[in-house]
Amino acid sequence: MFELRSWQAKAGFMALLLLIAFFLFFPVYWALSSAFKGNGELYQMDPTLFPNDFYLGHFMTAISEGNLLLQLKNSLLTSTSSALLNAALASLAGYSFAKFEYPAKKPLMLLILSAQMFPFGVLLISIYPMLQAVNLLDTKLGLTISYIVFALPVSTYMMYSYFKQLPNELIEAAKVDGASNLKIFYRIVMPISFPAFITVTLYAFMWSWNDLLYSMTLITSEENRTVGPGLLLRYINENNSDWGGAMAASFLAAAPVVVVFALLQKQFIGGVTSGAVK
Amino acid sequence: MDMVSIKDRGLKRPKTERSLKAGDRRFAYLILIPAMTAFMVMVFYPFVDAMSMSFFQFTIYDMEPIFIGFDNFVTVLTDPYVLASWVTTAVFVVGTTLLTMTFGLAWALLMYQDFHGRAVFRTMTLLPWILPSTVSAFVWAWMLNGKYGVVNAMLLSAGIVDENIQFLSNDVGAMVAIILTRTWISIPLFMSFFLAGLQGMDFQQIEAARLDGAGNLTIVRRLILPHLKPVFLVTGALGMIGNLQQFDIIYALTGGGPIRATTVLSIEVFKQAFENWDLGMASTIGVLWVFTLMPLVVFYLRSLFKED
Amino acid sequence: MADVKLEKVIKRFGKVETIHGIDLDIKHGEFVVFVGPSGCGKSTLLRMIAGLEEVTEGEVYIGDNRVTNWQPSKREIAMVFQSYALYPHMSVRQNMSFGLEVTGQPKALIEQRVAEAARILKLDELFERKPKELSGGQRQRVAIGRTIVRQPEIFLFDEPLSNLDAELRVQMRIEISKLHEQLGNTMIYVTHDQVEAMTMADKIVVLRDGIIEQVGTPLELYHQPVNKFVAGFIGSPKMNFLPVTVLSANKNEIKVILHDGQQLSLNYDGRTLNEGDKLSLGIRPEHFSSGNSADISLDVNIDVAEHLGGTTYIYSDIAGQAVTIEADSDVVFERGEIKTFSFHLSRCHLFAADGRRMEAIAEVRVVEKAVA
Repeated sequence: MFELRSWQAKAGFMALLLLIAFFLFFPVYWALSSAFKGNGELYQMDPTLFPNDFYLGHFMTAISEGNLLLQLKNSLLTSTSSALLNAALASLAGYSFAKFEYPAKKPLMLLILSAQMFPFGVLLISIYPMLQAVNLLDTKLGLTISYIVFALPVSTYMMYSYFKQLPNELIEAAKVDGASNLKIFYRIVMPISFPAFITVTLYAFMWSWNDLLYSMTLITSEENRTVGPGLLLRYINENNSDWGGAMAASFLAAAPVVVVFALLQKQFIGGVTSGAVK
Repeated sequence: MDMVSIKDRGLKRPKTERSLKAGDRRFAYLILIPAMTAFMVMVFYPFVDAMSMSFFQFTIYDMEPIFIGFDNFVTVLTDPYVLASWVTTAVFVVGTTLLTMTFGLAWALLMYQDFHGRAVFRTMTLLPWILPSTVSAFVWAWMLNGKYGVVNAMLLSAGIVDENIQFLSNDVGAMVAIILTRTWISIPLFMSFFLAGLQGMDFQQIEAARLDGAGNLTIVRRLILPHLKPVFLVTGALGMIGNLQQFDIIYALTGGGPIRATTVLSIEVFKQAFENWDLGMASTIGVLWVFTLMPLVVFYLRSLFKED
Repeated sequence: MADVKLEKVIKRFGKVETIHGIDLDIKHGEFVVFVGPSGCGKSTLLRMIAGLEEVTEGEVYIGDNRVTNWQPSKREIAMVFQSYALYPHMSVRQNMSFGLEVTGQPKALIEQRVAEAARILKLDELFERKPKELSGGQRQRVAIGRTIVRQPEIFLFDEPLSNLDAELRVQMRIEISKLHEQLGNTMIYVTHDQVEAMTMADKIVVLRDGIIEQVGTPLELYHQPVNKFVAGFIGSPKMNFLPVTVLSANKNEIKVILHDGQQLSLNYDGRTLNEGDKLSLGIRPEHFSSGNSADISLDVNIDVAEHLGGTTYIYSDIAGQAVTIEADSDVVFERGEIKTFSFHLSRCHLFAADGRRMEAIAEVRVVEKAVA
């Protein structure tokens, strides 16, 4: 797109590229390299760019002390199941909105989408006593269900706009072929829409995976704690000094999802944006 | 080909004659039920419930909510702390959204250029976004550490400052910290918004402009920015909605402090509700919060539905 | 037997009425083509027969059944869509067997039917391919194959050839015609292309703005169009319309004057006409001949001449009307030349101001040739 023949243009381009790349990627590098530094090297006024010797002690203590692995498991479990639940609900609702005509359609869609002006923190004020009333406070199930709040409206819209551009003729052909609506949905529509389903699942997963507010408030026991609040409670307190441990634990907490996203990112970038801005 | 009669095919005559599409409509309502139920129970009811709580006095000392009409609103609107946190929110939201959009656009333009290694950059761009909030907060808290932080080290060696800045323990520094961190996290998403917008660009238009002698900057200013204007508005609204809702990063980095310097509405509501257990007051501040969000959401939804 | 009958069929989308009460009979085994410009309602009509679109008022009958509110799958129909609508995640074989499978047919029957259809359409070798690995023509064949295996009483085609290139279109046109001969079923075919209509149909239904303009065999439409619209729509290139003005009219005769002063006397009951009425004289491009040997001669100023080898088309402007003439292919015409062409009055149609065709113009004679 840009014409970079002159050296000025090249230099300008490179400078901007390096500047933003540095802002984006250096923090990750720094966290990683800090995780491998022994405390002596970590706490000096003049930091080293590379770890002098690859010290693995922080990783050891991150795993052996505290409940990092259990918390990771809890996080993955709640986030994955809520993401799948969310994507399933969103697929059904999105299909209903995209491919059928009925009087209540537009108001219902607007109602669901307007949920974006309901602050999550405000909803929590009611969700907390609700879960308490049905004995789901401090359970993984309760947290999983509550996570619906974050992504359902936008996920529904994402599936809606995906289904919207599926050709009607495909559905009509199946109809003429004699398939019922339900069969059309799971034999024709969903297999074709698998990429969109994955995108929405990932999107919903990100919300729950990144969450701190709900998991911190709705989970109180060590056994059900997820990774976000777990890290926070362990490493950030008035006089925390274990930055090496914090970085190592952070690395471990982030790694599984980073791997998954590295594998799936191509379709994800396109998918997330397709619904939101057109 | 031999013809097979109707009976062989097991087709049955419809028993009753309803309208042709009645079955479709029933199916449409049926598959809407799960999502609608979840939505009503987990989103809509809690919202209405929380909103109505703003008319009640309901603290940890009250057994039952006591109806007090608009008293909470009077308290909130005359409370300098609440108004201050509204201003704090505005500073955070505007600062973050502006920075995010600037960097997001610049990065999208860079990533739109076909250069060697672009694919690697694009893949890596997602990184800040997929880290759990707590992890992002840790990474930046460590970088901005007042004693051993690498940012201080860099500023010192570049001669920009003479002594370490205690980012997280002074008002301005804490605000800078949360804005920087939130910007860092949001750039990937905004880059992909802008990239999607750029992909809809007519490439021949750029070629034609280049033949007319337009330089890179002219093309950005005269062709690309006008083309992206609708994307700008929508992502701007979306960004502000997201930043208005933001809690995790701020709580993990500063906890709303020092004192109240980074206490935005989300933190304020959380503290009222789950530290002071004053649900009535929390809800009332929540109403203020909802009204702040509303125009943005209305704008966003309108632009979404414009084409339908 | 599967006759199709439409009775006062009306379609409204909200307040907008797009089909205004259509009556139509289609006999078993007929190849019927719905033709008309886009937006005329031909596809909507087909979709109402298929059961994909609700009928707002009126009834649809297939065979002895009133099927107005029946689901498509109960109507003994199969349909080929414009986009083919092949299931992209299924192989050719799965695409063809899907309809039988979901209606619970025995495996052996499915296999036999699919094999049969594949043989007819020469699809055997493509069985395991996905639609995206097929060419346009092959996709079209699979779409047809999918309908054949279901052995419906009625085949519906919704502009099936419009996505194919010209050569393939001709080829598929022939194949579909052959298929009709072979199967002998009722086929209803929608197109905006009058050539397809003329070449394939037993019966053509010309639609405009949600009403039927004319129903008839291709040659009936060509020779006896009921109005200017049908006359202009059927035949290629389009029929030319020359403006004429009524000089006098009585029970037996209408006298009109052409733009260049020629007067014609036409045998027609002209009691509805008055002096000074504006009429149109229709003459098809292919009915012109060079020179002044025929009844009426015109001097034509050639704007453009297209020499196609087999034929030559001449484009000109006569009295403000664009005129196309099919001329001798062995003469070279130059732009700007003025040439004389003539045509026989027996080839002409006279259209009233409202577009309706006056009764066939029988014995006509030239009264007086104007002096130029």
